[in-house]
Amino acid sequence: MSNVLRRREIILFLTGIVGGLNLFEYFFAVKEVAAVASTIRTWVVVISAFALGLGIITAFRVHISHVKRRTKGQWPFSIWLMGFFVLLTLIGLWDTKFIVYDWTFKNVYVALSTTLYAITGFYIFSAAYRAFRARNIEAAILIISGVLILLRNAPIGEAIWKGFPVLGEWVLMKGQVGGMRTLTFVAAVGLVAFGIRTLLGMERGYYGGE
Amino acid sequence: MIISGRGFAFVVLVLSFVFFYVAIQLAKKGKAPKIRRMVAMDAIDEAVGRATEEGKPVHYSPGYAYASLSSEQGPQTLASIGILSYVASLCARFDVPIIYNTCIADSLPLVEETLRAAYRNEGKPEAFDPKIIRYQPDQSTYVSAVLGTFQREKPAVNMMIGGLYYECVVIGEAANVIGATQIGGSANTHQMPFIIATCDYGMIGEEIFAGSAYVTKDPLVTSGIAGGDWMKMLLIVVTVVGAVLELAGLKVITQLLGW
Amino acid sequence: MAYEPYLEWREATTEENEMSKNIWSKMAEVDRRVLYWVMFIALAIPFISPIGLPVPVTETTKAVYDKIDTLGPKNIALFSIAGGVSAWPEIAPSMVAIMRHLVKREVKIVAWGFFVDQDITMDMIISNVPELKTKYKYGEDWVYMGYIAGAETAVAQLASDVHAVFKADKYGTPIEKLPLMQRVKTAKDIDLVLTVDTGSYILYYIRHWNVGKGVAVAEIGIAMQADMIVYYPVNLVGVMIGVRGGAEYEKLIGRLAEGTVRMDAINVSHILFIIAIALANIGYVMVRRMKK
Repeated sequence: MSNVLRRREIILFLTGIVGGLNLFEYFFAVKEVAAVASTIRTWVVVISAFALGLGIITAFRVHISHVKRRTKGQWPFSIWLMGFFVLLTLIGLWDTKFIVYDWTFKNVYVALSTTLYAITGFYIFSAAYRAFRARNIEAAILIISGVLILLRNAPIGEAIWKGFPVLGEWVLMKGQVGGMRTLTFVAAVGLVAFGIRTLLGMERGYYGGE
Repeated sequence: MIISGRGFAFVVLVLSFVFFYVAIQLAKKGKAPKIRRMVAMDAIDEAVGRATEEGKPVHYSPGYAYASLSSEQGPQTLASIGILSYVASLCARFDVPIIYNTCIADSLPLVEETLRAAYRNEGKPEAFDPKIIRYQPDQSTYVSAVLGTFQREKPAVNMMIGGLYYECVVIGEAANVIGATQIGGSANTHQMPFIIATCDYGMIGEEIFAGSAYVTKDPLVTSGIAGGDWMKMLLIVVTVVGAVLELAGLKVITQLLGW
Repeated sequence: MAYEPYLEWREATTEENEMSKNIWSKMAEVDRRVLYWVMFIALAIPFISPIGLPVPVTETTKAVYDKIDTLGPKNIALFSIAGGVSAWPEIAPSMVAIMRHLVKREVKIVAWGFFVDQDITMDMIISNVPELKTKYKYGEDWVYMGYIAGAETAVAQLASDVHAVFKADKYGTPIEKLPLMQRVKTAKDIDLVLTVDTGSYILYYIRHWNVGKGVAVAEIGIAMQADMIVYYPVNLVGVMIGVRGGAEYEKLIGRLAEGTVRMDAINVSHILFIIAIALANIGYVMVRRMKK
């Protein structure tokens, strides 16, 4: 049965039908088609929710293998992860306001998430130090524009010289607009072309086709 | 019949299909349009070769992409999986381990099937281990998992292609610390500076969408890229003509766009 | 874990060894651990000893303030949470300041979101804006509908029919029993959308709520979205960007808080960044000259 469902024709057929239906619904005001497309979009939401369960199974598969093989430096953390997952899931299913669950979510998850996000600042700092060198005229223009925007964003820029925010504002609101709009435009067109290739069955890599 | 304001878009869509049909017909007659070199895609062979020499794995990740295929980042994830297919084929051919870290749950069946098919096509189905796919449910956990992977397993190559967000610079810098060759790509304009700053080879804008078609080297598939470019040229002409007419006080194109 | 330097592919020449002892070479290749420590110390200082530079208000933030100033008890604002707790350092001051302004103007508030950890965000806002519990009556003046999955699909569905998507609020109260939600059936019943955004949700609201239904949209975003107002000047009322947006809004509502405190760190980090780039480039240029 699974080999039948994996057949390329079925995948292309489903892709074409669902894609074509949503395209039709976008352009033409036909109530019946809109209702079907709306239902399909609701299915997408449901499938996304189910996919979380699939993800957990995938994660457990990896960590159980680490525990079985006693992977050096890894297996205690795998036990920790799986144990914590099961414990918090059970407590959460019972009562999400329970103090252990609530405290862990707010004081462990939030703190760690914020820390990971904050690390970005340090990494940007080292990346900029390493990469932002004026090797040629274009790189020099990039660096100068970046500095002007920095001085526009920080109030200290205006405290140093009132012209910095003006120049930075010009770079942000006018200088870079043309280039960024172009990149957004071509990315959008490329995306549409990719979508059409997918609908026509020319893109096969994403489902393991040859 | 057509919803107000979407008429012009419908015409462009129909013309796009026409362009694609013409491009395919030209390819069938042996007159396939020439596609320029994509340096980053050509570098994949070199990068996997380096991993083979060093005996270290290749790391591949599709970025955060809002952790969902149904977000607007979904096409970038699909394009990334298309490129993964080629990377996985090379890794299977040269017996290079590949590690795939992701936080996009609904892409997991596609990824597993893509990797399985790549190993099967190289004649090594038994070499495929589903445990090379590592899932973490959230952006922060995904980033920390990748950082840990880099420190423990020290891949020779890092490829991050897809809907990248703040993890681009974090993962990119972490890969630079271990000296990995990096290939990055995203259509997200806000990550472009970080791709350029951290990666050895970068793909920006639409290049990731063209990537999976480019590597097949199949004229029928690459003709699709040309079809997309013809559509782009049409829109550029409309934009320029519209801007000139608008400056002259003629709102013909503006009204046409709102039809 | 041990730190490993860049891989070297060949032995350094005598000349390169001599160069590496040079101050300019050292300036061009500072160990990243030094950079991290410098940044950490520099960012910590303003929190211990605040500098207190004034924060000029930008037009984009003022536009959001002016729009909310036109709203009153008969209007309904949508507060959409599309950012995770990891982005709190950037967006929390703006969220709290905006909510304080809405409550001051007695605007009715409908809240929902798309991130799994948004309940924590909502709890944080309620703890900082206690008027939501003391002055406002839940169900009549404000409601919190909870989490909805589906990204753009969900935003599009909500624009057409809110009641088809949400059957009950976060606390399980059926939507029919919420008086405020009897006034909110589609996007057109909302007077202003305030989307707290770390990515693309602003585009979804622009496409489906603003272009589709004509609803005013404003954004509370992270620093990377500063150029949204440039690309969508017609569609967006205004944009509050990062910590600075929060500090500006606090100044406008006359209640300085976290955003203003964090601006000192922003000032220090930006100046540090500029100094670092300058030093790196000076070192790079001098090394190139010496090699020639």
